[in-house]
Amino acid sequence: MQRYLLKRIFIGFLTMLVVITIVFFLTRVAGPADPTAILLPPDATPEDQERLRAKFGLDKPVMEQYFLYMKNALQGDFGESFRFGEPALELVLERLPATIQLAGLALFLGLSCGLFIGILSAVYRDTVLDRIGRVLALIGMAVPQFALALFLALIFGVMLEWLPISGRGGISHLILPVISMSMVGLAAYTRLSRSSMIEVLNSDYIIMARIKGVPYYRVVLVHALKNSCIPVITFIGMTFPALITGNVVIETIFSWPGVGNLVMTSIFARDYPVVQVIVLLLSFMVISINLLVDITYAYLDPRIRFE
Amino acid sequence: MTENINKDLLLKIQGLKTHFFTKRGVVKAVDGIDFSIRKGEIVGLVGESGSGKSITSLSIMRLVPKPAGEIVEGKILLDNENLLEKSAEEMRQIRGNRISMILQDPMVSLNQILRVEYQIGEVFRFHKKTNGSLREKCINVLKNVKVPSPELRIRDYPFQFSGGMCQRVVIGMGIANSPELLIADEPTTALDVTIQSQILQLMKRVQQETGAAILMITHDLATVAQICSRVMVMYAGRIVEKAPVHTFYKTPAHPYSTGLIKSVPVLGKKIGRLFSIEGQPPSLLNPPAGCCFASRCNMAKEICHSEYPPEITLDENANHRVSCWLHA
Amino acid sequence: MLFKKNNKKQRKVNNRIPFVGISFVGGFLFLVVFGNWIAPYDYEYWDMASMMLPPAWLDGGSMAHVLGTDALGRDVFSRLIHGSRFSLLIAVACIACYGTIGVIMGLLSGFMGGITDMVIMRLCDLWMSMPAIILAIILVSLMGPSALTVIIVVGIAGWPGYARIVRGECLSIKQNDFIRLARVAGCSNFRIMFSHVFPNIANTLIVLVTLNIGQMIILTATLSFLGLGTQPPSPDWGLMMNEGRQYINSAWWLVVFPGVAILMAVLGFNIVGDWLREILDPKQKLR
Ligand SMILES: Nc1ncnc2c1ncn2[C@@H]1O[C@H](COP(=O)(O)OP(=O)(O)O)[C@@H](O)[C@H]1O
Ligand SMILES: [Mg+2]
Repeated sequence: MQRYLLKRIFIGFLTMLVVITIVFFLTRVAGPADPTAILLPPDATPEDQERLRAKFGLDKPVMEQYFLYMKNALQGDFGESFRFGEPALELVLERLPATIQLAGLALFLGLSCGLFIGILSAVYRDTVLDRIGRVLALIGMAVPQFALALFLALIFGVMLEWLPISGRGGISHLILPVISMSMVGLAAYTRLSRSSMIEVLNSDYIIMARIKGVPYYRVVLVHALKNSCIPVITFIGMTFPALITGNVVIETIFSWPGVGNLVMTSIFARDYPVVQVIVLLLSFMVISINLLVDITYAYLDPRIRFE
Repeated sequence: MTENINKDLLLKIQGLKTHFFTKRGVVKAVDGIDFSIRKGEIVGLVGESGSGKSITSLSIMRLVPKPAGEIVEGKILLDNENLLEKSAEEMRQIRGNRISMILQDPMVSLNQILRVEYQIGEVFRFHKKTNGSLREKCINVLKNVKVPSPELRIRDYPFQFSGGMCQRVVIGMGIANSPELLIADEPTTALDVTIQSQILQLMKRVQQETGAAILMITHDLATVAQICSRVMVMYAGRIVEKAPVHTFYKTPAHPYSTGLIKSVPVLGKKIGRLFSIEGQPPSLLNPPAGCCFASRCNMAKEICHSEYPPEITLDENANHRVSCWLHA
Repeated sequence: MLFKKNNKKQRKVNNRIPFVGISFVGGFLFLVVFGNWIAPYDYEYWDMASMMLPPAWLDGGSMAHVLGTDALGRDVFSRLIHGSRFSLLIAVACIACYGTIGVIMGLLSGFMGGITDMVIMRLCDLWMSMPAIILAIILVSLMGPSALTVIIVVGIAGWPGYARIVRGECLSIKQNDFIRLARVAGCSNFRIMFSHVFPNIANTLIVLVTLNIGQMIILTATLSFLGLGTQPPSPDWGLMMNEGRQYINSAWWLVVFPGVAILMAVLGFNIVGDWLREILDPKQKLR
């Protein structure tokens, strides 16, 4: 198990190297236009532009730029933002807590409610409760996040004026973004945990537990819950990239001062150092989440642990 | 009526029907069966797969798979109390305590991700019979069924056990609370031949020690011959013949029973070709009118196809009964 | 007691045809095909004289613009109708793109085995850990935002899902006798792949594609909404919501109607997909 984890960490590190390289060349080499063109005032002279290019190291050959970048990156220096002149890494890290707060809450809400509804749905299968849960899950899967966010903003922000629809502040600022971001996950986890629970509830060891006279709620909570969580946990890893996409959308709509918001503004301003750091950060998060999922998986399923 | 006052009587089933309401129609898995089991006897229930043996036993436990399955009619009397009228909680207290059951495949009847100790402990935890520590009781359960070094194995997970060992654990759990009735649903089918006889020996010993009655479900007549005193033959959701074991082997009355017995290879006797019953078992979805076996029976009369035969008593103390028009 | 009650209860048999889903999908496809004749205006037609009109049933609305008009005086109803074609075309193009890549990769992986299999599967892993939005951001910064960009982004982001399923199918089909026979009969690998395996996975693919159309409509609309996809004046539903967003305080209809349109279309395809899965994929290989 430990060796396996070490191997995974090593592969993760390699993946990040690959990602950083690809992004570097895609943006610097294949990039459409000179980023300095946007940054300078319209009346700037070609000399001004040259000076700016030299300042960012854009005048050197590409390979030299690449090696310089990699060398600095390994020391934790990811260059300066073209736009703000601040170190790109700091700029991104400043925004990170806001994003983690939003995405973490949304993931937690979606997962816990999804599991809860899905399991209730499975246990009370084919009852009114189950029907309602299934219809809601079906609708939840069909509403795009941005549409839900706008609907909620329209109803609770504009029409009822109960909740703020922009920026970060107290708890009231969190409600709409978190709910609209968690809904897709909630629906998906509901569906998955329902079907997984139904499958588990039909298995022999569940019947066996009941034969022993274990109360049904204990059978569900001890025997079935742990077993049916395994596919759900794997699913978290699989859908984490979708969570990131959702995060970008929601931060943009609610002007949430997080990384997702920053990446959208940076990309339109061709602020490549910042984009690069963010891409790297996201792939780091994807890799670590998958690692975390694997560890949880091994914790839940001793068969993996003893392999 | 005479049977009702019989003190020996443990379980009596009357007109039990368990149906599955599926998308394709109603599956009559158990379609009106009657039988009784006396205290401390081992009764065999035989029949080919799909004839409704497992559903019969799950019906007794009141654990028919929901939501499709439902007991639609009948009585299940345990010591003259109808189990079908018990509340869920009363029924739970009976399960694992007064009636217990062993499933076919030991590898899937234990939860693979919970320790054996926990799973054995559950038998005691939910029935108020507390004396001694839980761990000691669990170790005793394993000792009882001859699992080597029980103190160590108790910390293991089921996937670290072999199939035979798993079945020992399951049997141990089944008899832990000295039940009055143990239902064994094909306890040896999923095991190797060598292990099979060990498990049977174990069950026989256990039965002698605890005095539990055993309903031994199997499709293997050799097993029946080895440990049962009476046998019942199930076909397409109904019991077609009941007989003491020796009578059954000597003079089987139902054509299906005859077929079953002929299809068993006899040790030491060289036979050219095994007899096998021609044709397919009938679908329980739309059972034919009349006797379900008629289409495969080479002695079928006209009435066999149109009307289900009554139960006919063949001997003076009513131990041998058959549902077949040939004996009417 | 127990059974008397149950006997009376009529058990419902659960094989209903999902009329809601089918009618949503049917309506959607109808608009796609006959939209040009139904829509009162062209999607680019604008009229400054009648801008920001509310829907007909509100004060100031007119029957000439049933669902109101936007900031340029364009008819929302007409744009929604034309938008259906954009949505479906882009979604189908995406699926065609990654479906093809995915199926080919899956067939190769499942049939060749060995190193090919390993490389493709590792590639899948790598790919699946890449958020679509990141790919979109990178490609958009290279090519600029457009419908084509969206198709390429989604096309290269989505193939691993198909590849895995097709591979799994291949592996199980490979065990079948008729494939072995075909081999013995001297069919080439390639021939076997297409003439024997393909018909066997057709059902799976039909279900998968139906379920995917909904997802693709959402994803492409999301990209358009973020300004990474189709550009004005296209009547893409996501783009319409993006444009309407600025007026959310005054003109709710610019946001609500496209949103509802997406919801209904996606809901329809999801329901029909679930239904198809139930009748075509009884073993529930797809979940
Ligand atoms: N969950 C279920 N849904 C529908 N039909 C079932 C279900 N379980 C069992 N059956 C039907 O009940 C019949 C009897 O099954 P079972 O009692 O398991 O047979 P046996 O144990 O004798 O092999 C089978 O023909 C099967 O079709
Ligand atoms: Mg069985």
